[in-house]
Amino acid sequence: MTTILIRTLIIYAALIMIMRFMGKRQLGELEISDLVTTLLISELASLPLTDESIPLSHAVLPILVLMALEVLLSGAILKFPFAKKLFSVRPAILIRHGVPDRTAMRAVRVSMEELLSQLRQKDVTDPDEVEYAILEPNGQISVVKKASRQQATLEQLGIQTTEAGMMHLIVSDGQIHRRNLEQAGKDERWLEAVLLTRHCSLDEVFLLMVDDGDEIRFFTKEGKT
Amino acid sequence: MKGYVIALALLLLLVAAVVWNAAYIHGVTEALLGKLDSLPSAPATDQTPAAVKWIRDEFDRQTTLLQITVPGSTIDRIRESLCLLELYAASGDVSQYAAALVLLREQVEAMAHPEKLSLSNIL
Repeated sequence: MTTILIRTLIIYAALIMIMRFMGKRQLGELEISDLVTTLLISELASLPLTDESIPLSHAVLPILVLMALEVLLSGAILKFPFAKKLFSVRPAILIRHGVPDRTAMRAVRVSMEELLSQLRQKDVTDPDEVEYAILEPNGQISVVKKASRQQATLEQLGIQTTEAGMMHLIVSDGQIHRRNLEQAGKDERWLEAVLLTRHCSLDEVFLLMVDDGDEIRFFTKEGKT
Repeated sequence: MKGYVIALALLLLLVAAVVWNAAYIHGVTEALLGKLDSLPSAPATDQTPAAVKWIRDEFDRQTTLLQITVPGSTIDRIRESLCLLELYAASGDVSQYAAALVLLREQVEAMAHPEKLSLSNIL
């Protein structure tokens, strides 16, 4: 167990540093420490499953150590700038004012083809449309289009709008979601009034939603609205 | 903040558990080696098989706790060697008894080996 504890610490530190130097492209949606922890935990968990002679503690101990390290490391990254510099990758600007930055692309090992592919996924076909393309620490590319290429907003067009906010799920399959009801600023008396106006009991309701502008979406189990 | 304190406490608890476990396994190993040292180098008396059986029973009593951290194969090997030693002690075969005693000592020492803090172990 002593050996296992020390080996876990060494492997964790080594993998974090290796992933850190491998760069952002390997990460996908995860932060470095998340990825390392996920990789190690999945492997460790399978050990006692496949080999009965390995005690459960040989998997449980490293998993708990990794979990604790993960929480402590994420806390250290938030609190100490040097830890953030050491363990977390920084965003890299790949296109600046429509011009691809070859040096930055080389540093993060992103080819022009890959960058163009990522831009196409953001509905951009010409790098000249881009003010900034940024490779984020989680491996995704954020695109800020030039002002002249951005779609006009309703505000810019001078069209008056009202904020509908989000739809709150109030009743589903006859069950009241009281927390959502509260978040929508309503109460059960309001719900009773709505059901009364629709000539419907709670059990008959399949879906009832309301937005912040009091717009209601209503369906009974028989499909009536 | 609460999450970090819990994580730190968990880490310290695990380290403490590992240190306690290492001390426990060293204790069991030392006690077992001591008992083996007290056995005669040749099964000269009728009491030798009974003494070996007593050591085996004592070891069996420890296995429930040992199995939490020691691989089952290691414990099985020691138990098997204790049975063999008892058998050779009863048969009076001096050379086989001596060989089984040496093998058993090595296996008991191997049980504590992973708990020794050495570079070769870690690497």
